[in-house]
Amino acid sequence: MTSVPPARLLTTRMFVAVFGLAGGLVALYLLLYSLGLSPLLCPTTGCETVQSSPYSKLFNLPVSLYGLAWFGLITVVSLLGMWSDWIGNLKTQTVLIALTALGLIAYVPLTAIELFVIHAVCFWCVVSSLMMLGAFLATLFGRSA
Amino acid sequence: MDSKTMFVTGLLAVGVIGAGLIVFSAMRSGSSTVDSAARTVQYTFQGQTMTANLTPTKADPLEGARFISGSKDAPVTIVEFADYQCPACSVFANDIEGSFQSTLVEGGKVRYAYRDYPLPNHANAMQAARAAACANDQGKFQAMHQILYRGQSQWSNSSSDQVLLQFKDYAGQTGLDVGQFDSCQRSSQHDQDILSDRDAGNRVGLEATPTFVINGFRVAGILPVEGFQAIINQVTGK
Repeated sequence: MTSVPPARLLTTRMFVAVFGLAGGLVALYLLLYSLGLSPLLCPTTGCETVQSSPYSKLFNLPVSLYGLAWFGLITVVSLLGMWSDWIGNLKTQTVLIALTALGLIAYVPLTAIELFVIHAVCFWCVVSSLMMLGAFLATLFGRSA
Repeated sequence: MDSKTMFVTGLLAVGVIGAGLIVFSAMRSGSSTVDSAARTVQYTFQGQTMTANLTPTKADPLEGARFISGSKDAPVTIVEFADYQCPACSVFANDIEGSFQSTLVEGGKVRYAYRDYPLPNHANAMQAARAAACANDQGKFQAMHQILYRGQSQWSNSSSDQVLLQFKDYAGQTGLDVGQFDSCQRSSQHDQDILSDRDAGNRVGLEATPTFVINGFRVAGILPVEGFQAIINQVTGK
């Protein structure tokens, strides 16, 4: 089951890939800080507060690691989707909507914890959520192509 | 080469270069002379392994400090730089400081100083710092310190007139001579001390509030008591 996506869908996949790559790079930067390998340069206050809080880990792994994996997956799927409308038996568009929507949903509790529990907002986390939002909107735009 | 292949090649190149730059700059700062003594400390909190990043600082954070508790002979000195209007600072003050005091300060292990770092974007932070200093004049710093942090959400967004009335009310609640307190908080008699605290914070290279300086190492953000203990073990070589 292979069909080449139309031109407009191809363009949206490129945008999704760019958002995925940018989000992945932000996640990598935060991951290096979590592992103690890098300082955290932040244009606003709050990054270190959030990243050094107990909520920056999930199942003993940095949240940024999950972010890196998820953005990586979105990038790979969107790139594969430039050649085929199908990934195995799954429609590429459906997979991308699921990945970006789930990614976006994951930011809801994380942002709520920042605002209402830690009372600090991490600039890079906001950038990361905007990248996920961009990927989601680009995917939705492709849906109507 | 078709346009799709060109795009993927370009994107991969950007990805590899971007990731390379991030990793390279991390490794470079990790081995730079500025942070050559930087350390990371791992500890367990609520079943999770946490990491605290310690940055060495040469400036003496205690010089000129006003609000100091604990034994002079304590092996560890912890100086906190905080802002009464900073939400993260209130988390430390409301949820952690009690056990921090009883476990570490009253146990003789730590000499602790609180220093003001009113952030310019927090309109009432300076006034709150004045209120704490004025309460200190009457020997009630700790009571005012606690009530300011507990009531932070009530006064954070108040106007400059409202906040004076709220702090006057706090003075009554903490048993201060309200008239004396009010004339003090309306004056600038403690401003120089507060700004000296902020200068000390700048000298240690503070980037966020709260920041703690623990025996010459700066660590930013909220830490649980377990975190302090792990850092103390690290900096004292135990």
